[in-house]
Amino acid sequence: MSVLIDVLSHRATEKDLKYLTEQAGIRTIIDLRGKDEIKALSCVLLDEDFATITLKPSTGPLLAPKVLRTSPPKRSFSDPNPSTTRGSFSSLGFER
Amino acid sequence: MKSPPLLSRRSASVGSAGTTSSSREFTRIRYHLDFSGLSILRMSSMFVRFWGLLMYVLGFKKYAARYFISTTMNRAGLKGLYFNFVENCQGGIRDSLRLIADPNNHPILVHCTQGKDRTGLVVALTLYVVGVPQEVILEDYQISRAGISAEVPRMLEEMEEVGLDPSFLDSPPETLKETFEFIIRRYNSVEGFLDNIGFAKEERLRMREVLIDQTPMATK
Repeated sequence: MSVLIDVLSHRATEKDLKYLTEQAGIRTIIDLRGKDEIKALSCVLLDEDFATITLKPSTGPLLAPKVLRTSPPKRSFSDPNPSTTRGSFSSLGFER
Repeated sequence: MKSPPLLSRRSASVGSAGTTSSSREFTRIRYHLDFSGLSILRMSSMFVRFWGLLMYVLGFKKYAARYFISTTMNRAGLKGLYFNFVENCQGGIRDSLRLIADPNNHPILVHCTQGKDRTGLVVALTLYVVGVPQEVILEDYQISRAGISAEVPRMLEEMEEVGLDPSFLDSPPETLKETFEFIIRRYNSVEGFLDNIGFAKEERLRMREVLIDQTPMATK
């Protein structure tokens, strides 16, 4: 939970999500954005980019105390020009 | 547990899994659940729908969004938006909960754009199903206030651009509380709502079993 909040506090980009899959062992991403929001992102990594991710075996790291104390991800792993990679209200069309 | 048959493959990319001796390689699974989609249009009157959709179809998406926001969303407010989710986004809610209830999918990241409304509702319902007290759910929800604070100035600019009321940036616990009350008024109970959307009792028990750490504290 804290991990999610930490990430969302920085409005996670596609690259942030990739970081999460690699560092936090996220296996499944449920993306609740609408199609218009996704299309609005100019830097969308293809699923192929994530195709093979090697992780150490782990169960439920999100619920582990160690992970819950994880600091928010540093912006350094994000795109240097975040405005080109994030969803925005103006791009949402009818959705929010 | 039954696999989630209602998950639309149109929006899901599913890979395979494999193991090695020291590490596990698997294809990331990403589900795009169009949570709100055009269903949010149901918040508006037929008149607004007609003119808004006309603008949208003619390519004036930004104007259409601004028109819809000013005539409908701002009037309904954040609470109205959540009520709309409850009434018109039941498929997305059900599919999300089913994915979360499946241990094969763990660990899971749930996100949307702001990460507090659509995501907040799905997470709140998940916490409810596993038995987290309501006051804790509300407290957890309002953490988003602090969480998005760094982005507020930029988000306010964007909201002003499309005419969205700044109140949509907030995550007051009262809103989520009223949403739960709305669910109870409409479906008699939260369980009744979950039954209605197709997230049955067996699946809820499974979710609880999967998400709760059964290890006694003393043995940790």
